[in-house]
Amino acid sequence: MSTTTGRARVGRVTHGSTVVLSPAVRTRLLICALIVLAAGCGVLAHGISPDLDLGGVAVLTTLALVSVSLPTRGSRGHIGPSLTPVVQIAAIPIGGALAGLIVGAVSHLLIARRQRLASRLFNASMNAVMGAVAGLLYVAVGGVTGQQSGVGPLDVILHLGLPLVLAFLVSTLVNLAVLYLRLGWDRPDSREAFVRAALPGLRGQLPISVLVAFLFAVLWGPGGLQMFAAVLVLGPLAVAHWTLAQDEAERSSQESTVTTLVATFETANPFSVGHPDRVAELSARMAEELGLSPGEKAVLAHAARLHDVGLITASSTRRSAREVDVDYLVEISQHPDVGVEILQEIGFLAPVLPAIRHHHERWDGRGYPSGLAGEEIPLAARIIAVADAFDALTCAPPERQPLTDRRALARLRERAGTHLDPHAVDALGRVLSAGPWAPTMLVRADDARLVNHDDPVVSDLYADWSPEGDEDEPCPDPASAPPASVDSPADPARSPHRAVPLSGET
Amino acid sequence: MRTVSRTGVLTVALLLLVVVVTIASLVRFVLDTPDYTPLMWVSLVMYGLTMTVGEATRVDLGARRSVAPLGLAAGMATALTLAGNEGPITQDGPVLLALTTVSMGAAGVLVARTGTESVESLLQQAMARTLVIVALFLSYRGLLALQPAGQETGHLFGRGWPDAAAMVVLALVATFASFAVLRAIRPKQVGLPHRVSLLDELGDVWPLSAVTALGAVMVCLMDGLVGPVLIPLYLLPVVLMQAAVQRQAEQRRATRSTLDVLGRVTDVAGFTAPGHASRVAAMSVRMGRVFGLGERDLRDLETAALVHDIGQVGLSRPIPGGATTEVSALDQRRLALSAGGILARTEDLSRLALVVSRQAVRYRSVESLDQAPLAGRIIKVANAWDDLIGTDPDVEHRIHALQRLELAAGSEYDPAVVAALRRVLEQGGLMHPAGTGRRARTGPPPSEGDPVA
Repeated sequence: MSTTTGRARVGRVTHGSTVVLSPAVRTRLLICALIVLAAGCGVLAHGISPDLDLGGVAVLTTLALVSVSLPTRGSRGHIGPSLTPVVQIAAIPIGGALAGLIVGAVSHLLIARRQRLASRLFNASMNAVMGAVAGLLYVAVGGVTGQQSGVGPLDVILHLGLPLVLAFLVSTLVNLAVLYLRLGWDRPDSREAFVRAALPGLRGQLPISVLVAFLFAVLWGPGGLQMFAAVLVLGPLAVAHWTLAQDEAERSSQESTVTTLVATFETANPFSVGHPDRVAELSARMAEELGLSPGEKAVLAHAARLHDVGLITASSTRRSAREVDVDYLVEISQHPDVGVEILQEIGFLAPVLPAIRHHHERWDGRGYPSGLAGEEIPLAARIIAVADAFDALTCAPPERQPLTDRRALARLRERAGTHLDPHAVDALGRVLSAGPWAPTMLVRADDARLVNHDDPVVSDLYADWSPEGDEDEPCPDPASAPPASVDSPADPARSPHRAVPLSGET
Repeated sequence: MRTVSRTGVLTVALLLLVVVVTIASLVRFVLDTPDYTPLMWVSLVMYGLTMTVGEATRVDLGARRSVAPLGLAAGMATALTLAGNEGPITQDGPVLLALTTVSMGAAGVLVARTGTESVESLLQQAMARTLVIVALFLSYRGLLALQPAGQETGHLFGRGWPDAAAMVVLALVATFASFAVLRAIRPKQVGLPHRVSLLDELGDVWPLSAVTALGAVMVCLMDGLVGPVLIPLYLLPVVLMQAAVQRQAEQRRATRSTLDVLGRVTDVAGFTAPGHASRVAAMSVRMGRVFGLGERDLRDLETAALVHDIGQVGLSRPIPGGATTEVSALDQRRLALSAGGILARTEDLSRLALVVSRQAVRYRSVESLDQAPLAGRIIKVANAWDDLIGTDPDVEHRIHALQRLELAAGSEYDPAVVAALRRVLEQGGLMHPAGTGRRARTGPPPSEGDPVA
């Protein structure tokens, strides 16, 4: 009676007639239920098959404890199975019907990691249930425990292999069900995400785990190897895991080399420090709005960071041009191709190259280097083009009067359908209304007068000049193309591009 | 040059031996077919198929090394199974040899047709593996023969873990032996002091070797327990390991190709002579070998050398010819610092930032060698050598350039490193026209005192 009132005081929050339990109490209840379930299944299983090899169970518990306590790296790209469930389920044919319960519960209870008591208890009780249910099923379908050497292949398959497969499957199901239940209590909306995340990993790992558990159990008992089976079966898996951990380090060094390329570009163009990362961040947010797949997002991220790498080779005088003339346009029109040329030796960047090559194409087909139009331009390149132009308008030194986000977006909207992809511009609009965009910017004072090739006006000048467009005419002087005609004619005086001496001193 | 021809002769001799023995085995097999149980025949067929597939799916580790852990594991499992069969050795031995060489031959044809590897290298590897497999068979059979009568046949010390442990030890020795044999017949890099220790290379291959050996023993045992039909499944740990190693090798190649690109960026941009960075890297690695650096240090040295000029991208106009030795000492240090700054941007390469940013430090001006890491001193000399010579084939120019560096040794350059350069050049036959065998002493005497400093 007193416990009930105590619980009511501490844990129950009453809203009208419905009773809502607080998370802590729910966890405690769940743990109690799990323990009762585990005990029930354990007693049943023990009733059917009372043998228990305590020495073996002790060894297996130690193994499971070590494997569960080892630090796990990010789940990305795991090939091999996690060893703990393998040891836990293999313990049943080796040690007896209760072995799975004991190994699971003890190893998770004693785990040598910092963990809250509640998590410890929850994991231990969940694994106890998994082990108990698996043990019960194993003996129920005729699995033999403590099998010794000298049995035939058929015996091994019928009385060890098949029951083991069933036991493993049911224990995995119990695991998923308990986690689903618990997650659903805390945050019902996260259930779908949990299922989506858990299933693909399971499809690859489950058969491998089952097979490893089978090999381990067969060699231990019928093979007569006892503990040496761990060396033979789990040893190689541990080495494979270790190799994969090295793999993560290699992957990070691969990313480092990309960052170093970006750093090299920024050293060559101090004017552009931060530009690649700002464009990458904006592009990533736009990709989210446009619903790109994870693979496309990864390509876009690399492309956005490396899109201007070709500028490393543009001769320095051109890079620091203060006016737009034909030489400048020629030079600048080469940088997408040069970038591709630099990067094409790098195998893993192959999918990124089209986006880099075409990031200065225009929706109306008057851009460079290929003059692609509309949907012919890779989507990643269209996204980068928008982010690039937006960054050029908003991140400029104070002398160039950078536009506010709102004004810059308005200017890009005017260009949607001519210069830029309307969908991508819309996506940028949604990104900017979703949250603030306030990047930090470093500018050196002497950069203020240099032309920024990402400035939309430069794109227009190129489009009007377009060398392949009309070859019979001599190249018109771009300075004669009045920027006001393509720029917002409403307020030419306040246009930041006025700072660039486009007309006049050529 | 002599070592190459010697390994060539060795290869041909071994090949002849293997061919003769294989033909003899096949003839014997046909004339006197063994009376194995049906299960044993199924085992042998499965082993043969697995070996062929395993040999054909090899992993390229780079540095002209490729491995076929699945093939070797299947081959060793065959050897252990046949040794445990305890039939007459004149029957089991030829069966093993015939099965191994035929499987490897089939796999070799499959791989050679893809053209990814040279026929010579395939032959060498197949022979090394065949030898090792036969040796494993003979040693396990020998141990079984030594044990007192009355024991269960086909198992050492009865069935159980001591038998398995003995097999594991033998298989481990065999795996490392196959590695050592391959290393011995692989043509050595011409004229280089091969001070990279065997242990150092072992550090790279032990995980894979251990998994291969353990996998072979497991397959042999499971074959006896559950039967041969599932043999490919028993190889699961080896398959997983092979996948892991493959991924690792791919990652390494990806990182390496990006570094190459970083090294070439300054060429493409016109700051340095074409190929400068890769030549400096190659020369630095050779000099590093003279100092007995391990593989890991050599890899770092190579990376640092590849990117040593990257600071030049920040120049407003290129140095003529990209030769940093020709600019002022202050500018050299400034460029080095700029390159170091680029490397310091990432966690992985930042450990090389110190090496690269101190590459221009004058030897004379450091108070302790800690201030100028060995890698930096090596790169300084390799860089100066390439600035002076580049791809110039003229021996006279080389001699003159080397003398110029030697005159500045102790002031500008570390004398030990310059001595290492001389050693590399002489052993590579780069200091005299092909085959004269002695150092030409015809260079003009140095006229300037210390031209570089």
